[in-house]
Amino acid sequence: MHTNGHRILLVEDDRFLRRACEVSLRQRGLVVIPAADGEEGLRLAGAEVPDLILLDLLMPKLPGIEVLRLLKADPATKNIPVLILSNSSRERDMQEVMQLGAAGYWIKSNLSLKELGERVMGFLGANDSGGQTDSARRG
Amino acid sequence: MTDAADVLDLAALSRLREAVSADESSSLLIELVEVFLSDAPERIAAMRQAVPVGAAGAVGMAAHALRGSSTYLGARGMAQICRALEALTEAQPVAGAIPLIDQLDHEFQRVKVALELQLGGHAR
Repeated sequence: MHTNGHRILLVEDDRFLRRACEVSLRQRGLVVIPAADGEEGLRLAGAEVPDLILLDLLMPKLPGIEVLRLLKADPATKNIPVLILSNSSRERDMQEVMQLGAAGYWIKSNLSLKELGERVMGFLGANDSGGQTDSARRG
Repeated sequence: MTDAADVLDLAALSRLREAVSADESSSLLIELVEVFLSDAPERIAAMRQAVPVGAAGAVGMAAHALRGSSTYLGARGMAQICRALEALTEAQPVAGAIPLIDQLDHEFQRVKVALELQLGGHAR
């Protein structure tokens, strides 16, 4: 499989969504590192230092919000962009993660796998050239 | 007899297939359906076990997770019931969740048949 060099850490506890997103993103040439819960995601973020983290919020062991807080408090991981992928459309959840330093908040149920892939590629392209898309700031 | 189109949003299944190359789409869809058919009963059972002990958070988390996979597979009815369960666990005593969990279980049986029809018996 040809890859474009970008490495994505996908932190998603639901194995259906994790597998679907993993295959879809891999088909776009991305290297996908899957993590099944927040603890594993935090460990892999430090060990692998990916180019981008896709992070679910509602997870067992360590919720996504705590993962985000710990990532942004660690000098080794604080500069990795984190995009939140959640089914929650609560305004307070969105505000909290953006204040903690998330690069965007996307609502999973609003996105097909194809759209998710397009948005990730758009985000990576914008990030490479030093900018961000509006859709990355708010899903 | 279940008519798949009554139970499933077939366009959602098409979108799943389109997300990956033709080489992988059939095997991925079969794999995802197998994961769904294995996970959904476990999540419904987890909800049932959580109700008597008043664990609203556990019911809500299981419903939240099941809503995601139901949406991607086009199981609209299940996704709607899961959304209702999430809302209920935030606002009311969790004991009131049992009728919705029964409804979810019933809808899952219909979805299971519809998915098996769609995949021509390839899913376990």
